[in-house]
Amino acid sequence: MTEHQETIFIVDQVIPKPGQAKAFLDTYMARYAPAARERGMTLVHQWVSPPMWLDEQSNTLTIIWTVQGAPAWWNMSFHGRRNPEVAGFWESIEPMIVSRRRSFSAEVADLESLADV
Amino acid sequence: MFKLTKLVTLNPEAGDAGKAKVEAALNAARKPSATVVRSMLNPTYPDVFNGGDYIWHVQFADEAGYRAWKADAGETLNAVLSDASLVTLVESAAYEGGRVGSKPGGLNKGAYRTLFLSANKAPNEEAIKLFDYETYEMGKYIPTIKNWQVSRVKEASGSRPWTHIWEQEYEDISGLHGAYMLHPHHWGHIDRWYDPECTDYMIDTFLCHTFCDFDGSMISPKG
Repeated sequence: MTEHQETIFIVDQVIPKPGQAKAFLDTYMARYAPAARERGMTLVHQWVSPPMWLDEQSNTLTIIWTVQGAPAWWNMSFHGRRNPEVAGFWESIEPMIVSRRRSFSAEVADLESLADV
Repeated sequence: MFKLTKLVTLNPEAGDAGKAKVEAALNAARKPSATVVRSMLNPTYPDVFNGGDYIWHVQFADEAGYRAWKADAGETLNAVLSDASLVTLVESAAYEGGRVGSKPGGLNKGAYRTLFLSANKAPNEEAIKLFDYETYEMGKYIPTIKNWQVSRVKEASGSRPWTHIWEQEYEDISGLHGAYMLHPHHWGHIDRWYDPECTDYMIDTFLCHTFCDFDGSMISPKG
């Protein structure tokens, strides 16, 4: 049986409206990140593609967090659902973005232990 | 098989006499008859979430059997359940049994769990069909789920307009609290329908997550 310490990646891929990528990322880090850290999420990457701020086109932002193991994932999710400011944040940034997607990933080497439940 | 499940919450002021009256009514309404094929009445575990004090579950051969029961024994039962001095809340769902699965071994005793959910934010039928499919798939991937069924609700009452019933049977309750919660198919895949942070979110966050012991499967085909 696993010790539930696998690294789980929480990936937010966001396409802000043209020219708004830096403003969006600043808003995300100011209004979303502090509460995310409080519920156990560790920020590991803030990727910008292409690697420069575009003025008249959209950048793609990939913001990657981690938690360690499925119980920590549920703790993160449980506290997010109980905090109306989290859902409120995502609603509030809709005017700034074209699209977004959240997904959850793990290293292939961890798949066997993650499924060993 | 057409199914009816009620999650019944007693009025704490009802006392022992009130509790006995409610239990008698629940038992009378589930007696084998021309319409009732099989049934279960069991107290819920203490750590259910919006799960009531009892899971009362009755099965009929078809919807016509349910309608006949509803017009007769169902009326008598509802008279008791609608007495606020006895019962404070009833979550109710009537549904045609949906896609069903079982693993080898024929589990017939253990822990039964049902989830009442409302996909009231679903964008379209295509999304609901994918949710139905992925929910069924949980039973294939998660080893402790022995019998399982996902169904769409035809008639609902209670706290939400319930749209789906997701039933599972386990050898014991640890199969629900452990593997079911920890398997990546749950948190890493299907939970996105329930998570307001995900763009596929469409399930109301108010759920009835409830479980009890069972002796005689309520999911596998009746032998």
